[in-house]
Amino acid sequence: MTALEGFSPVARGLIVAAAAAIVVISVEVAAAIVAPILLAAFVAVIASSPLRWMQGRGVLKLIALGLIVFVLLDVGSIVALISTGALEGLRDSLPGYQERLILLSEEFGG
Amino acid sequence: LERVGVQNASEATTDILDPAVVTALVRAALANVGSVFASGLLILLTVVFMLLEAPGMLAKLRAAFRLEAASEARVKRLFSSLNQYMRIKILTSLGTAVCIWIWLWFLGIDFAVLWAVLAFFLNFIPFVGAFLMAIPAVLMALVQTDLATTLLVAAGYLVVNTAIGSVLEPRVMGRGLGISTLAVFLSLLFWSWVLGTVGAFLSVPLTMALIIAFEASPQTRPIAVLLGPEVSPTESSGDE
Repeated sequence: MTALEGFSPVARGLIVAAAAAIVVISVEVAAAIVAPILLAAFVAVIASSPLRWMQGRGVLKLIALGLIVFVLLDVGSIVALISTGALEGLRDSLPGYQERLILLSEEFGG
Repeated sequence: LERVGVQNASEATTDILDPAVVTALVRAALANVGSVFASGLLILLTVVFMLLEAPGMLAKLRAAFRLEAASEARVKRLFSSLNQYMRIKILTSLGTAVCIWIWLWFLGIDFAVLWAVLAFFLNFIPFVGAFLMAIPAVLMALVQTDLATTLLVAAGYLVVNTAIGSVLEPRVMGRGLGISTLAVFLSLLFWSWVLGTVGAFLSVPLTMALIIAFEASPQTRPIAVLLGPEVSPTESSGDE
């Protein structure tokens, strides 16, 4: 804080606010790269507790890591499979639903 | 009689949700799936590298910043509270998704699994997620079945979200969360503006991390107190 001591309290507040604004805006501009890294960090935080647990039971680190990656990939691909399959089905039956929606809106809105 | 009673609601719904808009939304979602899983692979790689380094991280921090005991305890508290929050949230989201899936399956709504997956992910977004997850399933019920079933679907979402989000979750979390309700809502707005969709999903853990970081320095401690849970009178008088 010594560098800011020559300023009045108002000016000090403004300087701090400006610094905070610069940080926030840079994060927003860099969101495309910051967001995946943050997401990865949170997944890593979650995954670190089973990793530690397995290592505590004498499982080799690489094997434990491989298991975690396997589980993550599995969960990801299952979710992907379910959602893409269902989304495709949804797309195929969409015209029917659309017709029905138009019918409904005519019935009630007309 | 029932038809007359519910007529206005459905009129409003169909007016707001133009069929063309719904179609465009689903198309956009389909196009997005590919890019989401491409970045998913990138995230997975990052996770692996982070996990490889994780065990030595504390020692590294200690060497780099000459950590005192107090700040070391703070770092540990940050990780344990994040860990606890994420674990509870994953379990409650799973519970929400399973309840939704069973209910939709019981009512015979199409693509129940898809809506359940959607519920799992949207449960991570505070406040808004609960409404967002209900919209597609209710719409689906509206076009697929009659109004009574649609109302049952909506009621199911309401009951599940209230039971898990407002009753079970606060009880399990206890004081672990440590953010005021207003701060949760404002942080949702803030982080979703800064980081987009990811920000909306991570708003609560990000704010938790910020609060713990703000507590570290005496100059920023007031911000941490403002964002934190309600202060009991004895605590506030005892503060330095």
